[in-house]
Amino acid sequence: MQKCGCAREAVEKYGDMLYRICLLSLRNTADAEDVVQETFIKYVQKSPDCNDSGHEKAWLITVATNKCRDMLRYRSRHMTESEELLNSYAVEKEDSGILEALMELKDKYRIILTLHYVEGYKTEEIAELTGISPSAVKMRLSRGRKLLREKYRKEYM
Amino acid sequence: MDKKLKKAADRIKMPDDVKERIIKACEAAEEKKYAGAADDSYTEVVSGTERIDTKRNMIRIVSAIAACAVLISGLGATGVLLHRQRSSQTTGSGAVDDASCRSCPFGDFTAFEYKFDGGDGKYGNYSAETYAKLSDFLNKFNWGSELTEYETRTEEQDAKVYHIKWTRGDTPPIDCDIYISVDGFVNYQESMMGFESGAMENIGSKCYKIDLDAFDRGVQEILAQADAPTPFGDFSKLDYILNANDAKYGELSDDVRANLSDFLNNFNWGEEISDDQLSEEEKNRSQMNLHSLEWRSEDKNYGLAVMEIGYAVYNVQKVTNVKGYGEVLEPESVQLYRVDYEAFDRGIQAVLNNEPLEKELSKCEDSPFADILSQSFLAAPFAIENVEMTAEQRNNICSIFDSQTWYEFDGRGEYFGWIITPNRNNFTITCNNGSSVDVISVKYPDIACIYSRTYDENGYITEDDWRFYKCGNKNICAELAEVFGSDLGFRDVDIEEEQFVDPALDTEKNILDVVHDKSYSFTRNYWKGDEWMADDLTAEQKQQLISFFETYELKDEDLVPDMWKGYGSEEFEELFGSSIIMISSEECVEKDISVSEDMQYIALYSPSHYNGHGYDTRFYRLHDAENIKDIYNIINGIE
Repeated sequence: MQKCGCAREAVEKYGDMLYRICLLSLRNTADAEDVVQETFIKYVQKSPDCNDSGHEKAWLITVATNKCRDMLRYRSRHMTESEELLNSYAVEKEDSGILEALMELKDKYRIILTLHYVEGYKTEEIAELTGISPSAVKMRLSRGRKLLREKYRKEYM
Repeated sequence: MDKKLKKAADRIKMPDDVKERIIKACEAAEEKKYAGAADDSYTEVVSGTERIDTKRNMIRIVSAIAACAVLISGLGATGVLLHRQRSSQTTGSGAVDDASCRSCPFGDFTAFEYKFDGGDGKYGNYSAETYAKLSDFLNKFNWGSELTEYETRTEEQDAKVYHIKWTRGDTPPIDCDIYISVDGFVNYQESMMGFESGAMENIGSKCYKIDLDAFDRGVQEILAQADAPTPFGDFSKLDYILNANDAKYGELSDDVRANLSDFLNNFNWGEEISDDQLSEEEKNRSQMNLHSLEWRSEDKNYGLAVMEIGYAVYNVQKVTNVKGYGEVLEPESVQLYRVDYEAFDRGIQAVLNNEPLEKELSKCEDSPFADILSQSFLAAPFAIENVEMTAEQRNNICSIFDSQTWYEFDGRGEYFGWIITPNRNNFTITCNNGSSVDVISVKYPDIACIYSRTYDENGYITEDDWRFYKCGNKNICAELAEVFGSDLGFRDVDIEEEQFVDPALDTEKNILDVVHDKSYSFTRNYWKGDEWMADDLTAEQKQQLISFFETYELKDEDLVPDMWKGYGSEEFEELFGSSIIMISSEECVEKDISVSEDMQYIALYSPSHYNGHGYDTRFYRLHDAENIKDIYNIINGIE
């Protein structure tokens, strides 16, 4: 079992992936940066025991998604600044709108869809990462996919 | 769409300056950690997950094929290796103790008429056999002791995964509900209608904490086997991998997987056969093409191989973890099915190549239209009125129909919005014989239907029949129009046939899902003078609506063509009236529901664009007016 904890290596390796998950979940670059930073700080402070890079990555995603959930819960009770959209990332015409459509979905669907379609995790793995049951993940994936398709077709096709 | 999402999301990168800032913050935290508490020995152990790994899948593919090869060679060598041992339907969940007489805290489920909503979109509509298995499972499940200290629940924790409900026949009746949340928290509630308020009031509750994984496993195992479209379960719910001899299939996209599951669920798996029904050649052939599927449950490995020589082998193995050796697979059962390999292979290839699946077309020996055309008929050549015809024109129409080769297919589900009254998109022929009416309707590119109906003396349909045909002549509409000297604008347009399949079909929401969705508003809409009113349905009315759709299945075979020129037309309102039940969100109308005054039909309007023409209503013929009475009364404001 290896000890994890080298900050530079981890940020280089997983920084973009965590930032992507957080940004798609929180819809706000400043909040996403904060959550990613807090996640990596926790990572160097705790130095979790990891069998392999899969474990290390899973640990980081679990912590980051929990922090995102906390942040969203906080936001639901406190007014925050208007949310930023992700236009700058969808520069190619063929991709326009898909991220915006994703952004319009509820938090619970966004994170599951991101982990599945963007990061390639399977339902059981997402269940493990997010702490919800596999059947709930399947349900959210299926409903989220339907909603995303609907929103995307309605507004951008 | 999923690829597009990944591509767009992958473009999101953390800015370099933010990366540097985070690294610095981490390094500062690291220094602080080492400088400070050396006694902090706390470490966190993670249970990790792996990403979908194509390499790992390849290994599984190879091992699955190896397993099939072993099976085939085994058949050849001894001919008696098929070990038949059907697995029992009880679940392998450790939380169920078969031997125990543990009493269920809610009573005996076999004695309740309950609904079990597993969140699978079926809202508890399972067979009696499935309910028997569920009752057995629920009675034996370890629900634990009642919680004495209640925790504060967050909205996230309270997301419901399962809901079980029944009514206890006391006076007044008591509604019993068991809600199971995502973290295994179980809330049992009893409620009854308040004498004064008339509203349901909570009269007692109990809470438990269960092992949700065990519960989930047990339930899913029952539901996967029960009411499944194939002997192996419902492929749309199985996480299977598809292999071939040379392991040429890799990851399947979501769309391909959905089409493949659909194909597998609808494939004719034939009859189960015993090994002594196999010929010597079948038993001894060692090399052949095959397709195989493999999937896993908690403690079982399933393999299904479809062999070139015309049978499928379904192989179940028990998976045990042996310390020091890892996973050990023990054969549990093997079953054989006689199948059409060619059809299976064609279907698989079509799905993988994203080609449309062959429609089940059956060739008609004679023109199916001949009988109708031999009688006196009216014709509307892509026009909203029937026109006068000469004898020559009649003969020409008959010759065009007779000279085609017609193939019959099942088209109701696809062409449910077909209009049979004269209109500009169809060539219609109407043959009225007093109590019976036959209509032929032809539509671009080469599809025609016949709708025949017979009325009784009260004007109710006693029999009807709707059939679809295809002829392959994409000029047939132009030829029919030319008989009347018309030039059809659309005949020159090279429209891909796929465009004639409703693109909105897959986005159309199932009525059962819609009535169960609490985020929608349910209103009764009607004219009051010049004002269009919208009254919210009461809880009781909503429940009546849900009960109707839960108990009365609207089947494709009961679909009838649009005989009223579309939802909301003058002809439509003459029979259905103008009042409706509307189910909508703030953004859109999801469904409008109308019932005809004679309670023979229900019309469901959806906000799609059927074939781009706005024909988006499903009309179903109802077989018993009593079933729909409650809904009819709600729509028409009858107390």
